[in-house]
Amino acid sequence: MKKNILVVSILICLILMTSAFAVTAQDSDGEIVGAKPTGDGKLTLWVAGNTPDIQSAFNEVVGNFNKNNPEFDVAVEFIPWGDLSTKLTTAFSAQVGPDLFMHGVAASAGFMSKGQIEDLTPYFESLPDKDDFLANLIAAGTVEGKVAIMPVQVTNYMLIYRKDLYREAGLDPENPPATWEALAEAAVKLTQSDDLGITLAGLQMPVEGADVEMAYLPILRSMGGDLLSEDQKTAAFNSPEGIAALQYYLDLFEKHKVSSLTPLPGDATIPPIARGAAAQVISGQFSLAQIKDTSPELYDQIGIAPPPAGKDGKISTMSSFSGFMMNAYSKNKDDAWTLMRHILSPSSLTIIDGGSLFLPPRKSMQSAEFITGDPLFEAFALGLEYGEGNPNIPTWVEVRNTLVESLVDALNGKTGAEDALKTAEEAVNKVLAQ
Amino acid sequence: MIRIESTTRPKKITVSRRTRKALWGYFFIFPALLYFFVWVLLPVLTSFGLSFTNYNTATADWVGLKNYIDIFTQTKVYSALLKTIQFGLELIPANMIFSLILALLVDQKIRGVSIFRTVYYLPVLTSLVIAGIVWASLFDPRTGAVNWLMRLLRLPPQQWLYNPDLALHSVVVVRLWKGVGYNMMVFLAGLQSIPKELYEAAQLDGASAWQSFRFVTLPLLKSTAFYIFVMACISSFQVFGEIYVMTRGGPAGATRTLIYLIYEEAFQYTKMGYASALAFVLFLLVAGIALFNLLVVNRFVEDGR
Amino acid sequence: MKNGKGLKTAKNIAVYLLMIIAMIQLGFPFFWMATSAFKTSKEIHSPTPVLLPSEITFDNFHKAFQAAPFGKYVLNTLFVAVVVTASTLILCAMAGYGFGRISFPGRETLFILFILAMALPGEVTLIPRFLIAKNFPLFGGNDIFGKGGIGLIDSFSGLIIPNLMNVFGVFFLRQFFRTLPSDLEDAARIDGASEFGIFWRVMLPLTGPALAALALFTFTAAWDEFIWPLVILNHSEKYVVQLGLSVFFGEHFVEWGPMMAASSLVSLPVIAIFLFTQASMVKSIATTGLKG
Repeated sequence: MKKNILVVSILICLILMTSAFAVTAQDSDGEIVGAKPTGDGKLTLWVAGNTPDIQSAFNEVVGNFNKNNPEFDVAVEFIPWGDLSTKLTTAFSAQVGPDLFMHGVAASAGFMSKGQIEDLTPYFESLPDKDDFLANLIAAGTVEGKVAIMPVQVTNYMLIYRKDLYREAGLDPENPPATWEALAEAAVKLTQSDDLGITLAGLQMPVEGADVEMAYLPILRSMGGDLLSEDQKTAAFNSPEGIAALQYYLDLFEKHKVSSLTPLPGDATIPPIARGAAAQVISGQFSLAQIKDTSPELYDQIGIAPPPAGKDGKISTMSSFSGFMMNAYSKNKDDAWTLMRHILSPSSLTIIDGGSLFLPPRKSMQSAEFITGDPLFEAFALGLEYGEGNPNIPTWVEVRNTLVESLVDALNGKTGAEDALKTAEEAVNKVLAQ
Repeated sequence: MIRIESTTRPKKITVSRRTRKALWGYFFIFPALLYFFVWVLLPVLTSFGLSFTNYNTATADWVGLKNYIDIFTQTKVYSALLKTIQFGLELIPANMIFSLILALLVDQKIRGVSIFRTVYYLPVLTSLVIAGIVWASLFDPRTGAVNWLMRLLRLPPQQWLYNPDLALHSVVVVRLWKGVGYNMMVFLAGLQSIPKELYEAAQLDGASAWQSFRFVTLPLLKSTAFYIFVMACISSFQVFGEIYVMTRGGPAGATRTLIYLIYEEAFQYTKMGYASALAFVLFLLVAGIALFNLLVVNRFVEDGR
Repeated sequence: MKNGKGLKTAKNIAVYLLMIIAMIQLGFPFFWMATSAFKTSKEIHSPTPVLLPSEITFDNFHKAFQAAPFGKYVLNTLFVAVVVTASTLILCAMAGYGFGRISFPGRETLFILFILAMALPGEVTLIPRFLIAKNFPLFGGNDIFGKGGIGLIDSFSGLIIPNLMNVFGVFFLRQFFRTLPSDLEDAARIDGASEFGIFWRVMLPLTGPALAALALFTFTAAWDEFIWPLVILNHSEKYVVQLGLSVFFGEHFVEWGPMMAASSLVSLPVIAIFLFTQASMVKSIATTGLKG
């Protein structure tokens, strides 16, 4: 029996390896060596983000590729996140631009619907190790049955809390709240205020921008609701679950007074959890880097847990990712895919994700050294099993902004939960009908 | 040469001299005209054409007046239009008055004046992002200097940028701070162009400081002031950077002016056609004001000279 | 006499007082940036604002230069800004003179067209301008019809040619040419000067302060430009300073210390230009004032 499995798997491996060799040479680590370009070998790669660690990681990855594949010549450029859309929109309008470019998954459906990016399905299907990619990420990056984006940097949102403050408030730091009600109760115990308002937020929730939706959706989903209908053609959040989730959100500000609408004490350029102004937040693993950077003394006091469960014990975390898309106007698509495979190789992903604290999109890498080396970071990786992304539809950014506008109105006390969701439902349906 | 001709055939010369002068006129403006057609007019006309399509950077289909009709059915547009006008009404007069006062101050011949000039121009040179965070900390409800001042004056502290009713005014203050040094320099250039003899003459006539300001400075500054006024009208309605950096149109849409709305539609939702149509609504507003200035106010300015 | 002197002192004190108040208000953010460049990360992020660094550190400058080659970016920007400023001065002065002092058929209509075109925000014309840049004839591998290559994209020409002049500069100088007395012009014409000679040797020197101001504005604007270089340039060795500064903006947080250091450094050339122009503005008055 065991022998059989061994033989079969060796056979499969052999088949996979020969098929891989048929395309390009590839070593055991998935690294591409000595590949022959079909075109002139010149490729351009645009990376989102230009902080020094991102630059050094991608320069190393591209440097490796150029070194191992002398007939290729890949140039990499770094675009700041805030200006990525402007730059890409302009470049696409003139049909110039990179062969591969990086963006958030939220942008992929828009590009796909305009035919500006290549359908990656045939390429992806031909990958010998395609099953190693987390299936929910590939699904989240698929638009109308077409793979639009290959995940590279994954982020997961978890409950981040301060163990020392838990102890002070008489809570058990090893057993964080498991239900939303318990979370609110704990937050009340953790909150400190003075005459001007909250000085230490028990559970700080976002009050502005896309973050509000990122915080609202997991609550909604754990309570059994969702943002859009199954066919993604109409809004579904104006439901009893949707109202309950929003009411919970609003109560944290109005009723429990554990979240602050106005800035908490300290330097506003640093997130509340990293400057010691909040005892609990629900945020991504990038917060760990911020804490380490600005308040290293707090790092030992941090605990990570999945957000509380809602109806029937369902837990949902917000997971999102950035990855690479292929320009539909690229002249060397096969070569661009060769480069893509290099970026997606475990060794490249270790450089990219390990250097900047991102979760890798491969199953086989979830126990990589750079993850298990830090239990806090590992907790984010383990939480990926609850991960769900935003809907991937062409009008997503507008749908999200429209929803956020109503949510923020409610937060500012302009409308109640029911009215806010009713207004948002009408506006979102209008956007979806376009 | 002209003089020789004019002694022999006076009548024909006046005509040809005028034509010659006109030709010189075209000569002087020709390079500018060429530039204008390629880099200003052509893009404007293209945008105008796009405003009748559903251009999304990939495809463009003719949709007739649909974008313009959509504009008038959106409440978002109305509130953005109102905010744009409010923004302009607050910013333009404040900017003109403060920059004139500053220009008069740094026009004084006193020791160290160039240091003051430099400091007053520094906001123009300070990057918007940094200005944004410094102002955000000044407006901070808890530790900010603005609320500290309010308490000193025994006024209730405010939430400033976080209060939907005050955010727009707060952005006006930041824009004023950023732009006042620029117009100060324009006024200063105007003030410096006024011949000193006129002041000396006025002083000899026994004019007071106020009188020489009223009867020498102001009339000769009219042309400069007119320029600043027209440019302020045009640019106030296009203030984008401060809003983008400080509030991103928030809180709750309180600082979403027309130009911010245009940016959102164009670059976040890539609805270029609709954004172009919105831009022409803004264009009508601004061009109307500019045209009124050029045709009515300008005549008044030039007559008074 | 004594009374008048006292009045003058009182006036001077009042002026100084006003100027100092304005100085604190206008100069504070810059002061804060410049001092923060020397602060440690702890002091920058201190909950109670720290005005002056308790001990001066050059860490932020080291980090800034590690993050991006700012020396190179400054040289790139200087090159572009100097060319743009020079051509703007010449072209705007010519057009401003033409519109301001010479009458020709269609002058008013053209001028109004110039002004009105400024009423359309640049955000909207970004894509049309980009398309023109891409299809610009005879550049970047393009043929005479603007096909075949990438035009002005990814080149310094792409930063310079679309900014060879600006419409507001024409308007600005026109206003100044209009205020000049016409007797000088008439005298020069009687002396047999050509139209260009009148412009170049008589009228242009009289607008010294305005030219200096325009030079300053153009240079500052070229220094501050961000969106156009962002969309035009695709290779970091051609980057200008504002693109370099964006290096400190992460997706989720910003490196304030190095950013303050780099921002302070890259503002030095513009401050130098300012000091130079404001001095020349005053000097040029001294000469024109006598003649005028």
